[in-house]
Amino acid sequence: MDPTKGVVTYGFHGMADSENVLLQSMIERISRRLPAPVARVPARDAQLVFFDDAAPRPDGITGRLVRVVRDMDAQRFSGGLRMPPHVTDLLDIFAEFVEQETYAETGCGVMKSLVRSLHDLFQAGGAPHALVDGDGAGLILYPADRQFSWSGPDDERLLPEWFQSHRLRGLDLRPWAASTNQQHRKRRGIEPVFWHMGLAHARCGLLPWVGRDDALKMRAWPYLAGQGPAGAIRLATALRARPQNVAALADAARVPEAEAVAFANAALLCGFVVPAIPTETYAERGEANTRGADPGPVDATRWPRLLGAIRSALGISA
Amino acid sequence: MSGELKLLFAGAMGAGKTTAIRAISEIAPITTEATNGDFTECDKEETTVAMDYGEITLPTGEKLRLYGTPGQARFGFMWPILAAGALGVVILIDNSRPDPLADLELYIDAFRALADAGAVIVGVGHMESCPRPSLEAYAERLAALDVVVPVMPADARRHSDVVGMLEILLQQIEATWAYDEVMGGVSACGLMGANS
Ligand SMILES: Nc1nc2c(ncn2[C@@H]2O[C@H](COP(=O)(O)OP(=O)(O)OP(=O)(O)O)[C@@H](O)[C@H]2O)c(=O)[nH]1
Ligand SMILES: [Mg+2]
Repeated sequence: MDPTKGVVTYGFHGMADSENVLLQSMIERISRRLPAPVARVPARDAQLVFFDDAAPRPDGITGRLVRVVRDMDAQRFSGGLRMPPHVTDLLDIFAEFVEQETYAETGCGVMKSLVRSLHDLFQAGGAPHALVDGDGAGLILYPADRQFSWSGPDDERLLPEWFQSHRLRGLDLRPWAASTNQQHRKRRGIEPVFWHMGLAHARCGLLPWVGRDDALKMRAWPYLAGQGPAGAIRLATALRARPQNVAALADAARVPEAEAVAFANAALLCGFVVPAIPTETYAERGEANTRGADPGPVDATRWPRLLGAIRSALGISA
Repeated sequence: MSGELKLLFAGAMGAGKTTAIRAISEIAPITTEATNGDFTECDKEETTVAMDYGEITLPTGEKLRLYGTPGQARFGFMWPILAAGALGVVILIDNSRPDPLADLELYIDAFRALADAGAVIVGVGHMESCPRPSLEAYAERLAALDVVVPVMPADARRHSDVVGMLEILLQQIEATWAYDEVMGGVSACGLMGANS
């Protein structure tokens, strides 16, 4: 949101003029229910850009992209707009945008510095620390062993909560001296903590030390993918097949970019994914595939149909 | 080139290969169970001495053949024969065995070409009673072998677990296929090999 004016600007890219007019009039009709005043501007200057899923990814646009999805059966998903347009999608898209912008102005500073400190602490394998919230509940971190334990009763369900905005400000990271009565806490691998921290960081974009154009590569299977985001398995399979940056990854897995960012953050923090060194990206995978030079039973043109047939025989929806 | 469509189920004795094939095959699986004469490897009463075989008919009328490789290591010579031309391999690990990570290495090694080509998934069974090694340990061991293969808990007795593994396996094969498309014909001779 432009803080000086408090207006959210939006624009269109790659869509038919008639659709632009239709959408604009819908947005104007619901404007009173939107969380902020809105104004249509050229796509280049807009904060929110509705763009046709089929059109090439637009260049020179800095605003947030909202895909227009033309699949009658599409479910409402974060960041997308189904055509013909649904009023609820539009309301959600603007509300989410305003919420995230507000959060970016306040919560992201705290989030970024917390992620940075925890990452550095574990890289250095330093002494145990406690991460404590305002109520004194906390996690005890053992960087040298890449482990953590709960300082209170174990509660796995709290992890997703831990890095939510309302708690962030109260979180405090401090050195922790083991007291004898706490020696016997059940320790577990740090990965679930990092996974949820990475997901939460998606509201603030990619991790501070990772660039949007950096190619990422999978190092180990992200077995925590079941804990979110929704498209995590698809993202993991797409990245396993080919090192690529988050935008390309989102395209390959057919998920909104925000989901790819969440997945990348979580997997990077856990070490499942690492930045790819440019020389090893495409050439290496090509070579790896050649090593599997066991000719398959199918020729290329039959492949998609065949996978569809197997899925349907097993009762799997694609 | 036979052109048969087949999926393989591999894993140590008692890992659940026969059970997994039974869960999804539409014909009663043809097994060659026999009394186990190989008590040195495992004290299981019945074991599959040659292999399991099941089938699924696709909507196209084609048959997808399901092969369970014999678990006893002395039948290892059959693995590459069965793997030739396979769409993919499900490696089942029994977490209650003495050294499940060593089992993992053995099977990844045997099916390395398919693993590199994205056509392998690892399902870890008996995790309810033996949670260690953890999935993290599996992912790390695989990373140490310089291969990325999906690994998930899977109880071969549960139809949904078996289908869940195949779902991820198919996604992987599809993602590799999409990648090979991008790479173009020459280098793309992994799964999609220029077989004519
Ligand atoms: N508790 C438990 N039992 C399982 C699991 N998976 C398989 N089983 C059981 O383990 C036993 C062995 O399974 P089989 O399917 O015969 O194993 P196999 O891989 O065919 O073994 P071989 O033919 O000897 O190589 C069966 O009784 C299964 O029901 C699991 O995840 N948990
Ligand atoms: Mg058997």
